[in-house]
Amino acid sequence: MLTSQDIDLLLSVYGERSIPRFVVSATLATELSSTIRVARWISISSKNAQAITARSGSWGQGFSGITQFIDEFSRNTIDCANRISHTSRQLSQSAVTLIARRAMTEKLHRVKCAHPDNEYVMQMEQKYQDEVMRLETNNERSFLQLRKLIEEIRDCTRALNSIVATCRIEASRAGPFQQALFVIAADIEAAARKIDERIKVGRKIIDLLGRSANSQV
Amino acid sequence: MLTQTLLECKTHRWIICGRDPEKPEKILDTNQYLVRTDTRMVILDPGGIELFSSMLACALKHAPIHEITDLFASHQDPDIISSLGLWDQALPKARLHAPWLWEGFIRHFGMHHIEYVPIPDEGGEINLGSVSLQIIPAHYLHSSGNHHIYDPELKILMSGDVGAALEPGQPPLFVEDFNAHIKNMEYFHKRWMPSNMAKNDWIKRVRQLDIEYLAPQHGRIFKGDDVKRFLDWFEKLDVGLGVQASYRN
Repeated sequence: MLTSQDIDLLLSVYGERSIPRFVVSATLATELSSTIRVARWISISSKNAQAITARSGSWGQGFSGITQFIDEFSRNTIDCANRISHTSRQLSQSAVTLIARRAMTEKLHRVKCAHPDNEYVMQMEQKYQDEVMRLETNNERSFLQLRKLIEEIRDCTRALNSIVATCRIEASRAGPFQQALFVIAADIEAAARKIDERIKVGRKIIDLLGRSANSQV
Repeated sequence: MLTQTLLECKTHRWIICGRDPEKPEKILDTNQYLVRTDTRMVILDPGGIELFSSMLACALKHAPIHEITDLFASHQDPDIISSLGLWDQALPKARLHAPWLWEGFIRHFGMHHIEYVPIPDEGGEINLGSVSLQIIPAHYLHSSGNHHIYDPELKILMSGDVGAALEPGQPPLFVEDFNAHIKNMEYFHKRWMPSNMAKNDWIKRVRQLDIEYLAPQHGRIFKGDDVKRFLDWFEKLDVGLGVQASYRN
């Protein structure tokens, strides 16, 4: 897993070269996949809490009401992270294709300059130019979608952080079940912190992605 | 693309990437191997241009891009290294270890940033800092300039096209029944391997190594006693079938 410092380091190791968009988007797919694991862990914690509150009767009523929110949060996070992973993988593949199409367009342009009357070459160049434009538009759309998804997942984490505070309050009211529910609240809090960290890295990668778009690679 | 750790020790681990369900249908399936240390990673036979995106995603699961510092190409074939032009753009700073014989040819795949480290005919080593991998000559098996990689610590030989098998679908990672596996690799070795002399020279060299895993670039991996079974079988096999095939009609 990368840290924020690793992302800064990435910028420096490429020196004057820009980081290719297909590398940045593939990196994003990898980084956000760990979020899915953490969100699943939250879901398990929530199930454990449900089991405890089912046994605790009125003691765990308060906590019981929260577990469905936690469950919903983990489902949303998993869904968001899956979509980020899928979109960024697609963007990486499409960015590779774009490189090939751009290279072909440049070569055809050179041929056209040498043989300006050749209609076939002109048509071919136009065809590839159209394809380049189509891919650029699609890639830009994917980038915007990724930016939106990462904000969505961040909103989820913010909601979770506020749920954690309520978890602690409800755990403290759970009498003999207090300790077990505190452990679960701590687990969820730790998981939320991990997701928070991943999102910070993810947002930095998204910034890089925005910059790599302008560099035409 | 499937990715699985094959072997590991304190200093490094071997990972296989392959059995890509997303690859175009008519493209031959290939095994790519990663050797990961704590700070660096080498990709052995990084694969063809069509697999690049999947392979990049696979590699990034195991190392950030700047820690992929080395590539190794056993020879010049497109399924081995036609992705070079893209790795050249992807990697901030890397070296390609490949036979000296093929430098002028391999550069046709596009190489502006990666450093070409020519491997002499007698082989050499890839130094990854905490780990050193031996480069074992395998000329004419099947390419005229050809090398394999041996890891003396984990006792694994990445054997390029030697031991390769062409099987449809998604075969298991390891050979389970050697005799049943022969039919998958017999024609490949008879036809792709051109020289009995080269074959026997390689077998003699490789028998001196302590090998637990023999890991080819296509098909299944040989483990334990199957390594010796393979060497015995290969020794008896008459290769260079293409010469007779050209007189069939």
